Amino acid sequence: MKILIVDDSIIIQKIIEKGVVGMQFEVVGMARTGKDAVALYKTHKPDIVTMDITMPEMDGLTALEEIKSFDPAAKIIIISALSAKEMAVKALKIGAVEYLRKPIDEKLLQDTIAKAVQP
Amino acid sequence: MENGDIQKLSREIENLRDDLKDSEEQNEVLENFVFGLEKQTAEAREEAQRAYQALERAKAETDLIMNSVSDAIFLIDEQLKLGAAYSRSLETMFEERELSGKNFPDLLSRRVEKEISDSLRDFLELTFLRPLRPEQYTDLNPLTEISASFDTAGKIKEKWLSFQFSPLRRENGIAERLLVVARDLTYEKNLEKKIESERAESNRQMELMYRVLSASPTLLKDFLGETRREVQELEDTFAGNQAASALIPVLQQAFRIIHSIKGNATLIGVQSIVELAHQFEENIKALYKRENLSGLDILPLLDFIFRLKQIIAEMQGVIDKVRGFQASLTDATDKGTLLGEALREMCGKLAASTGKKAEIHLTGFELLGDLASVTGIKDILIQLVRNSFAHGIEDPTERENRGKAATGQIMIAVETQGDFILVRYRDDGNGIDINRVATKAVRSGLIGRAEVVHLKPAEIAEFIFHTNFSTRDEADLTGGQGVGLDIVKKNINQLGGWIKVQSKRGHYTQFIFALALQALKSRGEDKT
Repeated sequence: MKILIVDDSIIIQKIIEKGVVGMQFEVVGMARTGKDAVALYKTHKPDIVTMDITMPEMDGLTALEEIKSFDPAAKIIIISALSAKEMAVKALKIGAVEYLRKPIDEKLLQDTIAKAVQP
Repeated sequence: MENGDIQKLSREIENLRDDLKDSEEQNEVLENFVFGLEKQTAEAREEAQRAYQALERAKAETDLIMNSVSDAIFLIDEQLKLGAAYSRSLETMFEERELSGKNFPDLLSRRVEKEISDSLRDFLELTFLRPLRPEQYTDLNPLTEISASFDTAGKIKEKWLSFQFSPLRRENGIAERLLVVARDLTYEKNLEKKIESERAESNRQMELMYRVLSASPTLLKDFLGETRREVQELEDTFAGNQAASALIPVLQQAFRIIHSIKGNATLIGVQSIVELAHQFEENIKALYKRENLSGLDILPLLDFIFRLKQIIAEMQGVIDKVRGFQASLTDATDKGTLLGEALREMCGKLAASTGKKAEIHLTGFELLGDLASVTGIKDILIQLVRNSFAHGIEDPTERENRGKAATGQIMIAVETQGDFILVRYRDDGNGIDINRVATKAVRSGLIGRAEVVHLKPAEIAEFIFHTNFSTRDEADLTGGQGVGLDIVKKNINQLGGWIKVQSKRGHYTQFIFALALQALKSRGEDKT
């Protein structure tokens, strides 16, 4: 299965990557902006996306909307700080599969991803 | 009748009798049944009665809870409307009655910022759209602590409110309704603020107490006496001529006085006065720059005087309380040594605040005796130490680069010569920058550009004693206020003495000053 990791912080990217090690995922891309995320999604059609909200060029909410309009079945988990909770609420309303707050709880991340990719 | 007929008849009679018996039995069964039925009905009626009463009691209890609970409790449905039953405190909280059926975000939107009511709508819609994890009802809740304003009979009331949401779920896990519990935190918030300000106040009191206990009693007494006198002088200054043309001299005079108060407070270490005096100075400087200065502009300065007097009164209060304790310390040390200690302490404080290092070496202070508590000497030495830190002593690394010890040395030697007390004050700092002094003197209009080139370095150095002369551009707590050495010189002149400065660029600055013993003694007597 393929995963796309989106966060403007390389450290957070690594933490998420480390979190999915052992879950038999192929990390098909790491994006630091919403724009790159949309492009990478279209190229790779990953099974699951982790998406930050506050990012340069295009925020996670807009990226989520664009990916969803391209692929309504896209599975996107929002991972952001509570300071962006209003955006997180909007993201869940327009179809994000889950919202996880930072700092990331590794176990919860794994459970959430596992549940999201179930057929 | 034949025999056979009779037998037949009697058999029929027998049958009839049996039938009658059967029917009597049946009757009895029926009667029993009806009786049982009546009994059951009565029991059922009683049970219904009991159940009804229990229901009544439960409703009364619910009403009691809903009418008396201090939390506002209510339900909202998928249309975000309030349910019919809610606790009475909700009406008190919202300053509005008949709330059932009203849209909750609408109800709030008039009283909070728009972003908050928008976020609330989003959040509530989400909770009815899909199940959330329990902690998400808290994490995503936009109303954990909000400030809202309520219009009550034309008066705006500010409230701090906190809302908690929990779902009452359907079988598919999606909320059917939300149970909302709201609390009014205004009282706690105000209490918090009050406690915070009381804590700050008590810290200030502690600082005063600490200063009073750690300062030498004699110095403290002098400080309070002197500061009271200076505050009086300040009030007299402001009470005088307030014609627009006279304001600048009034402000200059006030600045000088407040600067002296600041110096003394630094020496004793009363931070609250140092800070207040510093603000006072900054305010005066701002007024210097103002065009069309009027008497009204100086009114805010009077508040400073009021606060200054308040702190002095508080200090006096602390002193009175510990007087008994202090009395036993008063005679322990002679005043000359106390002055030396105070200067060392001040040197330590200036070192800490400037990042520079210096130590003070004192000789002959015991010769001063009681005269050490006379304001003149003390003021002069404070100013010179501050001056050393501001202009003389270099940063430790700079000193090391120049091949000097990182710690600067300040030497103060006191000796008596006839009718004079002679004091030699020397720091091994950067010396006086004659070129800068000359430039500044020209810029300040103290001398013409053409004339200054004919002066000897020693003559140029004398400008540092001139009123409003400072080579530092930024004012801070240690110097550079354009007043300092002029006060020193004025003080010395008033005490019948003189002052000279010698300096070698990069090596040292030395002040030698003399004070007339007679003048010192008579000022000492004036004071007591």
